[in-house]
Amino acid sequence: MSAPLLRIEELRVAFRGTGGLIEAVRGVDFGVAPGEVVGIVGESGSGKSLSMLAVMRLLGATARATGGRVIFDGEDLLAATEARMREIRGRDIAMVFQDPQSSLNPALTIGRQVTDVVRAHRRVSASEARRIAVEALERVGISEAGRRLDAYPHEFSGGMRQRALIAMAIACRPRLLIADEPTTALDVTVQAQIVELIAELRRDLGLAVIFISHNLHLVAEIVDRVVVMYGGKVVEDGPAADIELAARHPYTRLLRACVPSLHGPLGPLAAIEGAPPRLGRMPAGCPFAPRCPQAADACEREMPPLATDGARRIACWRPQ
Amino acid sequence: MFRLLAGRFFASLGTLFFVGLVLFALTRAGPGSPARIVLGADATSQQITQFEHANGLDRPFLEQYAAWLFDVLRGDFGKSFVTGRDVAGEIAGALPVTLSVVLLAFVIAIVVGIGIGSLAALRPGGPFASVTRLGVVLGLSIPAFWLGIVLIRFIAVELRWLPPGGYVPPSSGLIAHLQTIAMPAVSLAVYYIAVLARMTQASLQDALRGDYVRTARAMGLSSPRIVFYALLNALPPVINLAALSFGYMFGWALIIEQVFNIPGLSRALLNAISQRDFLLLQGIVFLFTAIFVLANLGADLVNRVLDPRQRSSA
Ligand SMILES: Nc1ncnc2c1ncn2[C@@H]1O[C@H](COP(=O)(O)OP(=O)(O)O)[C@@H](O)[C@H]1O
Ligand SMILES: [Mg+2]
Repeated sequence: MSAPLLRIEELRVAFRGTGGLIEAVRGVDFGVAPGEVVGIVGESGSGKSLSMLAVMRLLGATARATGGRVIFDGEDLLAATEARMREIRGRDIAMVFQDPQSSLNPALTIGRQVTDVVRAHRRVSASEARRIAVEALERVGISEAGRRLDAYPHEFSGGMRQRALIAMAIACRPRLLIADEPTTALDVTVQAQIVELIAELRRDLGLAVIFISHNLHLVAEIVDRVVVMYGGKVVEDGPAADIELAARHPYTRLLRACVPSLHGPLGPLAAIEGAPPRLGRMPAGCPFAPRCPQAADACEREMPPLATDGARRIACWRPQ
Repeated sequence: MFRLLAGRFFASLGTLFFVGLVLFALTRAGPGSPARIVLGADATSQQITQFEHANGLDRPFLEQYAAWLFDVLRGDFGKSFVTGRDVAGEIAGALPVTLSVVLLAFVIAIVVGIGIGSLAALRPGGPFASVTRLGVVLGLSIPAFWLGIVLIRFIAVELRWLPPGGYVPPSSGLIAHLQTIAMPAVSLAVYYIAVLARMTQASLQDALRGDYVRTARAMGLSSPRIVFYALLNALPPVINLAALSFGYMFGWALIIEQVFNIPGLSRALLNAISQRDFLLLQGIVFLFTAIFVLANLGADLVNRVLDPRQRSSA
């Protein structure tokens, strides 16, 4: 495996709560190789978004990274200045978010929003920026892109808006695209198109991608590797096929069972019993132990380490 | 869009029509016929009937109103029964004076209010936001006339930087003109600076929490640009409030003009009240209403230009 493009080491994120600092990301650790597509899955609240916002240094005023390192191309982003981060965002790493309805500025044309990204990072003329914008929009599958530059977000459908956001993200040819549940707010058919688009971009541009989703099957379609998160920690990590077909962590196995596959038969929707642990009330042992069908005494007492096993890593005292 | 605007325009005309009607009724509801006021207590009833007939006062109320309204729409506010002078001429003489004070106050309030509010919104818990919060409370609670008196005392009397009162028209020198209206305009503006700063701060703070702001940051856009783009979405409520403020300012300007001894509409209005010159009174109040309605129409227009969703809806 080549040197990783992004290496997240023991990342911790906390925010100020009523009773002092509350840790929501508790030592996340994984890497992304150049051109690799990594999926992050886990129930809502497991710390996926916070981890990635920490990588981008876009945590709001209330939350902050309290430990660990984020090495991108040899540089620790957690130690970089804000000015340096502004250079990196959009040019080397870009991020798109869950809700395309609200993620575009309603007062500006699509063209303005794409060209602004280009002009934030490259000294080009207005007409050259427009040309690059048209190219980016065409690449994400928006037809008649030249005419659509003057359209406003409200004139676009949800899927088109997500495409426009992806166009903004890729306009400067970043090496890493972070997509935080980019399909969650969309219709099922549109979801599949966006997933297909991201796979295509990765193929054509050699882009590395971190694709966050709570739908394991959706992710497994396009990713090389899956990172499973629970309670602010990575609990399992390995090649997509292995995780989908032979997950070893009880949580991953349950997660796999409770989301219908995009193509498979639509069985009864199962859900994992119980609720994720409340923040600030993390159990001392494995965070999943209270809900785990396999849990033993050891699980309640001590957190299992993330142990390497070939190409996979797993944090469980009783892996399957 | 034109249909919408036309709709708003006719709605405004309707408002003016009804306000004018109420005004007309109220000024006539007072005791005693205008003829009695003009001709004096010892006029004979024959003289009064003659006067009322000559001035159309014996015609049905609605007919009088319609006649007055048509004249007003042509710019003719009638002739005062009391002074015999042309009401429109009287207003035209005083309005530019009041307007220059109000316009300067309005510009100050907009620029300073939106500026302070925007800066305060950047760091919600920061020191500037705290100072602004205090300043807003202060600005809202200081009476404009009191501020005017304080300014006269210190800036005009002690420091002798500006004249304590009076008015120089712009035609006699722009600098001298500005010197006479600077303190009145500032006194008038302070309350509205506070009002607009508070609204801008709240609205922009809200906009800055928006998802599109996070997108812009994730794409590496510069902070000033991001704030400006957020402001585009934060401005509509501020603009509506500014339009209301513009209307209210005319009311407060009357008091400020008294403090600074400025010969604007306040003098005309006070004369009209004390002499029961109700055509003049009616004309001035109707003018204030028209300004209020027009300002709101203007705000609507600006907001439509700012918001592409409204611009493109037919
Ligand atoms: N600014 C914040 N203030 C308080 N709680 C937060 C904040 N941001 C996130 N959280 C909490 O942190 C946890 C992890 O959030 P998140 O990373 O968004 O989860 P995911 O993306 O996996 O659904 C959630 O329980 C969420 O409620
Ligand atoms: Mg999330």
